[in-house]
Amino acid sequence: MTQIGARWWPQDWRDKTSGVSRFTLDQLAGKMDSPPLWAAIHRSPHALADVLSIDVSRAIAAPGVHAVITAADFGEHMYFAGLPFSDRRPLAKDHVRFIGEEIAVVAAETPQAARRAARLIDVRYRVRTAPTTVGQALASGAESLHERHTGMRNVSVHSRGTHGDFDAVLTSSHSKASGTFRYPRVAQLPMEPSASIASWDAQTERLQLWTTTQVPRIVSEVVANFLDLNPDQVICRETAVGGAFGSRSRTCEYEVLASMLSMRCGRPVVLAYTREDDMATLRSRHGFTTAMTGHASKEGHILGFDTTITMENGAYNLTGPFVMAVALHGLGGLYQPVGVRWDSSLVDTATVPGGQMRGLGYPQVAMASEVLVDQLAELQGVDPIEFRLRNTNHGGQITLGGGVIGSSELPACLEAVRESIGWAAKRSDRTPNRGLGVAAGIHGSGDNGGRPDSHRSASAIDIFADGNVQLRFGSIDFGTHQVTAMAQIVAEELGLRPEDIHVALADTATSPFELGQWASRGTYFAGHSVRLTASEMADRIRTLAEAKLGAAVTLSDGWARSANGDLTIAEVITSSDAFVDGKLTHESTYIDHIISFDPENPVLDDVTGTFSFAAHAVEVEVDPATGKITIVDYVAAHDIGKAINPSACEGQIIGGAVMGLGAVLGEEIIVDGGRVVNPSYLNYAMPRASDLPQIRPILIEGATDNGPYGAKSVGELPICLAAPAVLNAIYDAIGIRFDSLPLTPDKVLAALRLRDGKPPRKLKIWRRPSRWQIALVRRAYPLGLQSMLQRFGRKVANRVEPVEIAEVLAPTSADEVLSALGDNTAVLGGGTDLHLQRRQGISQHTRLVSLRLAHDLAGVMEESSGDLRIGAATTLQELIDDPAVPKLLHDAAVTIASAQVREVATIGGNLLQAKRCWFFRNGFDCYKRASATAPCFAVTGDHRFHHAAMEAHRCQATTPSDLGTVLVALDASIEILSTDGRRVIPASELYSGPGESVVRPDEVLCAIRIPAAARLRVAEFRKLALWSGDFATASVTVSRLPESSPHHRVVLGALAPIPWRAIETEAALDRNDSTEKVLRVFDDELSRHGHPLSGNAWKLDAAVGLLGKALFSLSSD
Amino acid sequence: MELDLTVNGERHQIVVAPGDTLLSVLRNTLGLTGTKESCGRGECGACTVLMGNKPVMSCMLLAVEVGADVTTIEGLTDTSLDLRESFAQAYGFQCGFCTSGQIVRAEALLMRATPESLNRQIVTEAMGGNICRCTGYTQIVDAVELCARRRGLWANEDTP
Repeated sequence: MTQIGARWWPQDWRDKTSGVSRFTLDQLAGKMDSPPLWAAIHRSPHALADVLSIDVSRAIAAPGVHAVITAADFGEHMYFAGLPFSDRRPLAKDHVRFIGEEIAVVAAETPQAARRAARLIDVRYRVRTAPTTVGQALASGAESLHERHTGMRNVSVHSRGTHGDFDAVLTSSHSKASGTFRYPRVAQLPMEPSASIASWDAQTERLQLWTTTQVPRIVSEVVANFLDLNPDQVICRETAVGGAFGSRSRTCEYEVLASMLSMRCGRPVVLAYTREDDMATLRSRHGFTTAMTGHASKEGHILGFDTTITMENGAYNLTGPFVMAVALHGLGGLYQPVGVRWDSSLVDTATVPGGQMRGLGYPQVAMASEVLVDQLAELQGVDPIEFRLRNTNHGGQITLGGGVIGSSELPACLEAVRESIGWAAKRSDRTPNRGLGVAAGIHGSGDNGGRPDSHRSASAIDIFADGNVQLRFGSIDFGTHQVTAMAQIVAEELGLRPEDIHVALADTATSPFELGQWASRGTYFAGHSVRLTASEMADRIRTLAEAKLGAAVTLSDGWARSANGDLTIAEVITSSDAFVDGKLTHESTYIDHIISFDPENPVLDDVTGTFSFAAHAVEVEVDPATGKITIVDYVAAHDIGKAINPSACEGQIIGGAVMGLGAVLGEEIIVDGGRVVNPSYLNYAMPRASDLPQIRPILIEGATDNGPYGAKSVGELPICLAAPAVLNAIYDAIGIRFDSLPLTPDKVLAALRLRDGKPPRKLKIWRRPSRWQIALVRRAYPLGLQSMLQRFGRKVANRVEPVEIAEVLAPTSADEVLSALGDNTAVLGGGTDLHLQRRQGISQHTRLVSLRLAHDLAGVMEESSGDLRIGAATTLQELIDDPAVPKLLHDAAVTIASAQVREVATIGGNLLQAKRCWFFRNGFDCYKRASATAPCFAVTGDHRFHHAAMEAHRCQATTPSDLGTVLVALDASIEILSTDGRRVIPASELYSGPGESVVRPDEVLCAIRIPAAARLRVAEFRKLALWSGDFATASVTVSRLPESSPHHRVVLGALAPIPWRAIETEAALDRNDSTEKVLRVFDDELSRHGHPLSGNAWKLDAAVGLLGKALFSLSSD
Repeated sequence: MELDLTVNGERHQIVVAPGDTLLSVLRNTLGLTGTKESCGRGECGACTVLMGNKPVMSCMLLAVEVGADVTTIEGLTDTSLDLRESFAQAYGFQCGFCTSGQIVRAEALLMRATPESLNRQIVTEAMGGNICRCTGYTQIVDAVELCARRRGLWANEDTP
């Protein structure tokens, strides 16, 4: 074998690295027969309501509108099908059950016209009290979302049972460990936003579809069903797909809706989701609460697990029941358990339905079981890796779910990570607050997906007269490098090079039967199918060649070689009778003998092609000052059987581990009252490049098994082990067993406080009359004030649709800028916040005055006085690059956003950006956004990171500008120009409220001035953020003059509504108190001024930690 | 309004609306679909192009505000062949949707780097504005390192 196991470059590298690959929306350039229409969805604003009527008449009459469809356009019994328990219609009919549920869709000439018309649809509701959390859904008196057959309110599926002999577990149990673990909802977040282009041709009665899917053939079937067509009338065309991670492994709403509209209009229709749509309305991973007990025998045998799982379904089943069943397989598969008992409930909540995501339930369950295994090891006094080695799987073993394990290299995986991470040395020679952890896992390769035809996969090879070879395979490659693996297999069998093979992916009109990619089927089915077809094709070529040459033939380098001479493959095939239409074609169907599905007995057994295993080891460091967890090293060893392409396998392992680490450290879809609070990358703490170390993959190849060439799956398992490995490592580091993800600094600091026996901070609000009113109002919020304000106080909020810009002016001087200002006019710096505010419906300006050409507003200038004058239009990158700029300003600027943002964002724009409260920004009709009588959603909502912990009034937001904070520590002043002249204010007086400045609409912030003396200040800036480039959750700046009267400045960012000076701490520093004393004074000062919300007192602790770090750095300067 | 825009060395006289972003002009007016939109909010880097030699997010830049020649991924096809090859060799992409932005951003970094000035940390931090959900970044940084080494931009003391 020369091709199998080779690190061939990706088959598609030329197209993918040059922008030539066409993803769904790229297909619009040139391929459409007529100009497309654009679709827009009218979505439910309510989490739970009865739909009384839907009036689309105004939308239909709107300019440019071609069609509006509602549930009435689909048959009475149309549900997303394919699995039992289907309960979701393509459009809501009599009820809406989550915010964002699709009610009607418009097709119009432009995206703007479609969105405008969608807003004109008038739906009358009877709003019901929505249970939007599992707790609310299970409470007595809760509204029921559906009629379910479990006999339990809002429990869609309830399953109890055992695998193996659970009584034997209890009888032999010597040690047991228990815990309750919470895995959050996280999003798949493929980079390409969801989109479909549907194009109906009435002449041929065919619908063409380009769509972001993992399963083109299934999409064809389901769309055809909804449209009352035959599956062969719906053709999914080949298109590049920008990631999926399970989110696109079933037919999605957008595919059905775009198709229906196109058929209705007879024109191509584009339905494209925004990033916010994708994050707020697509099927995230199900949140699990897993209570579990693990048992071990006296001899150290892991006997099994007893678990009660509560799984948040969201508003519809989709794949919830399936995830619930599959989640348990790992428990009965890993190690050699004798029994497992479960009691699982799938609970309906009036939130966006959960769906399929990489790992499918196992990350949630492994988080529990692999932490308990560590606890059992500890109880028995055995090293965690040694304990796992003693319990390891072996070939021939049968899992409790009925799967047959062909081979297991789990011991080699465990030994590899032990060696690679330096387990023995680091566990014996401890570094404070650092720890090591390990976790192991098991995963299948393919399942039956609830379909009787899921064991089939066909492929075809065409060889043309010129010798070109084409493989046709009916799946897609959404980033797994399956195309490359398949090309290597064809090349291997036909004696060619992979680059000689063209791989044509799913075009359901021309591809042989293949269902697509889910459940780690890709390599298993594609590998078997393509190998079968290619080897049969090779046999045919050899037979033909041997007839011609009269000797035994081998295929190599494109030649049929024999002792009697050589022929090119082209010469061999063109003379064949089977050479028809300019090609020799061979098609074959692989039938798997393990995976099967019996519709009469639809049991989801643990039946799969092969089992793969893995062990991950991680070294973490916990910062006790800030609660930040740093991944120091991460090694992942995978039993992959045989790597068809090692580089591709490594990529899957690294990418999966990082995605898993995201859920451990920061990722969570946060829902408030049924509405997603954080539907943007900015507000979703997924890892960026510099947040994690290099992940180190190790490929373990082993004994032959059922996979093609012995290959096992590698796509899903890497994401499953990050949580338990990190949780075990944190316990090793600081002795705390966390059980709830993500492990954001708030949780870590709170747990450290508890561990160290520190009582909660005493705030003595009762001694501070200025806070009484606020305290009272906050108390009243959960008691009915918020709902009252929401119901009666809300006025029409700013609409989210951006207003059109009528004019962009670019004057050449500050004076001209000033005279260009007027009604509906905003100053445009880099635009990185203004354009976002427009998108968010916050800025309604129609005229923009750009500072780009205003020469006297740009640049950094040293004046004769020694003062530094920084023009407001100076970009952050210019600040960073200019050696005259104080180091403090430089240090703060490099932490802001990204290089690309810093190239255009200006210092003036940074200072004047609006508050970043995620309720305000993301469409909640709050006090600041809607009207004075609307509520502040942060009081009862998630306010842990970006809200004030001191001094807040009605709005709990903070001022987001880091520069605004550090400029106070530089004694800076701000020059503001108006028609009345120039006024200069201290930087400390720039803000009147959170993200609100004293610069009036008829004024221009023109410069920042740093006095000569202050430029000499020695300073430190310390910032805690959820990811590199994020806004501060807390920051501390300390500066002092390098002389006998140091005049310290201590300025806090993101703690109070505006940058806040800790005057008493400054005095302590000026007195030259010891660091310990200063920190005590600071802690005390925070207690006397702090007034945190229920969930952000930790920020005060973090500030103390940050000051400690800043002082340490200052003293060592 | 009329706009004179030079993209990939080619001068275009086009009509744009004042609110049109550079991204929409590139994709919809000029048909240069190599530049991608993933968030439309300046948060992910998929739409990165060069304005002059600066990497910028074209989704947050009005076309009328563009003050220099623009280079997109299409304009780097030949001149950055070695970088593209490094992405192939190091497996610096999976689905490929963010790849145009990654390569343009990386080229901006390499273009401005001085000999032996880059190291792993600088590259990793520089790539921080380009989200990739597939690779977990290690192989992207590997790719940039590979190319930087070939161009003599890698600090010698750093071991591979």
